[in-house]
Amino acid sequence: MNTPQRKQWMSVLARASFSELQARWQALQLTSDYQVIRAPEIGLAQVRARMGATGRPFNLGDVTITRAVVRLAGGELGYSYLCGRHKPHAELAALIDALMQTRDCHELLDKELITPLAAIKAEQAEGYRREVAASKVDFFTMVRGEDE
Amino acid sequence: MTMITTAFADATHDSQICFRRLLTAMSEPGTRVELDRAGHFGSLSAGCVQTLLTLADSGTRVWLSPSLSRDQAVLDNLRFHVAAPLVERASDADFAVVSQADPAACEALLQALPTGCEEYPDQGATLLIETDSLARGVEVSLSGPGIPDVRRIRLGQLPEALVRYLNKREASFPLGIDLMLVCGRELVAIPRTTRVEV
Repeated sequence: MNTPQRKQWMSVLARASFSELQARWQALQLTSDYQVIRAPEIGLAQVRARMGATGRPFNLGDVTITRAVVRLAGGELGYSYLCGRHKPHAELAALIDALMQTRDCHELLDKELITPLAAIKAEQAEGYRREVAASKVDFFTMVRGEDE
Repeated sequence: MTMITTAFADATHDSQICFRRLLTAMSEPGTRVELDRAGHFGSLSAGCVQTLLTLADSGTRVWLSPSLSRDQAVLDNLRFHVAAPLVERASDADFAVVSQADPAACEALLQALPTGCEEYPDQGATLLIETDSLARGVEVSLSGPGIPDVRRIRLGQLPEALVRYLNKREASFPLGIDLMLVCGRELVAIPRTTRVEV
């Protein structure tokens, strides 16, 4: 399996809004037999940061994380880790991760679910960047002639 | 392909149920309890699996007998569900598990397992031994705390070293190791306080 690709789709599944994800999932009408290996559970992770991206690392705070693991009848294990406390989201994301590893469903899911969700995510990120860029202020100093 | 399978369906309540039954087994030595909340991992019996799921975690070191530590399904599942560090040396272990296939491992193991110290007798190890039956085989009489008079039970085919050890266990209380004998889903405990006559 291709790890960078899997990383990318797991990230898309974790960051997508649950309503979008669920709507697209239900539209596909896929049914699959799966076992819950690790029922969705909530925990905490500490987030570290650096001041100005260059300073010494410090503990910014904690985020809640929900994780789940499911196993398909064929033995594929699907994992999910996401921010927040949405258990159905974690279970669905884990199931889709498992199905993405099967040859039968990979293309369909990639085309109908992962790509559009990734596009929405990219668009939102772009919108946010534009919003920030619009309010950007450049500071500069006029030369007042003291140096001459 | 990893061999990970399911453990407790409802981790909180299933482990509480198993904990209560293990407590019964330990406080009334010789009482047979049944653990029926999860299945086996590879060649590791359901009783041992549930005991470890209930009592062990990332802070307890587990030693496995040779045939178990070669079984990938056992290793994968213990790492995933229990997350306990697996140790090579029995002298580092908090829990030791001996499979029926490794009776020869007992002799050195019983010498090596930690028995705790006067200040911290709780650091003595717990030894889980898989046996073929809890209704036939070696008969022992148990007496001591938690037993009204004498309790006679059968423990199946036991490794000889274990029989010798039980018969003349040093009276070193509060130090010692606690024993659990497991047959499938059933379990009998012989804690360090119990006097055993084979």
